[in-house]
Amino acid sequence: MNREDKDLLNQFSAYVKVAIKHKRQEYMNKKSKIRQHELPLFEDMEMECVEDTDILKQIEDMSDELEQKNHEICLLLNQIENYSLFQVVNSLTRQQKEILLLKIFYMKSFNEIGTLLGIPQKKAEATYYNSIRKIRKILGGKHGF
Amino acid sequence: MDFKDLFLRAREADKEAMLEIIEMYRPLMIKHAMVNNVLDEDLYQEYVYCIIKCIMKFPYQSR
Repeated sequence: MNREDKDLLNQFSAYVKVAIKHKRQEYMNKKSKIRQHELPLFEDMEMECVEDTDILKQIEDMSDELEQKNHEICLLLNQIENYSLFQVVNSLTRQQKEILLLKIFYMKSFNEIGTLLGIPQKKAEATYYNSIRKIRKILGGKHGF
Repeated sequence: MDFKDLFLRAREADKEAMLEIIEMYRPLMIKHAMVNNVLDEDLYQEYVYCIIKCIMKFPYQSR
């Protein structure tokens, strides 16, 4: 093997080593990101899977809670007489509707809303004002909502 | 055959030359593909793909 050949081999090997190190880093980051999203679910499941009756009870509770929330959202929608306002409110996401409901009808603070829905206070605030802005934008600010 | 010829052949998408270069770096790939003392086959596969990319992208012509 001549000198030029050796140089090429050494340089190519160094190039490959760096590329492999980067690839490993990238792969590990990707994997840890996936793991971060997977682990809490599995941990929850392990904790919940202690007894079957617990799961059934939990499902019942959850469905009751869901029904209650749906019912409240329906009540909110039923109170709206203006058709275009009804359409706009109906087009909001479930979370936006919940936050509007809690803020306007139950007079909750953003801190309380955040605690109730399990989201940060800032997010609750931002979601609320975004929904209001969206409603205003669609209705063209005519209705003074 | 010297490495330069092998490398140039691999660059022209010669399958055998590529395989030979991949074989050359197999120990390195295995070493870096060990995660908790177990060979991560997906990672190993990524390395094979990475070496093929290296062959194509290595700045040889420009020098």
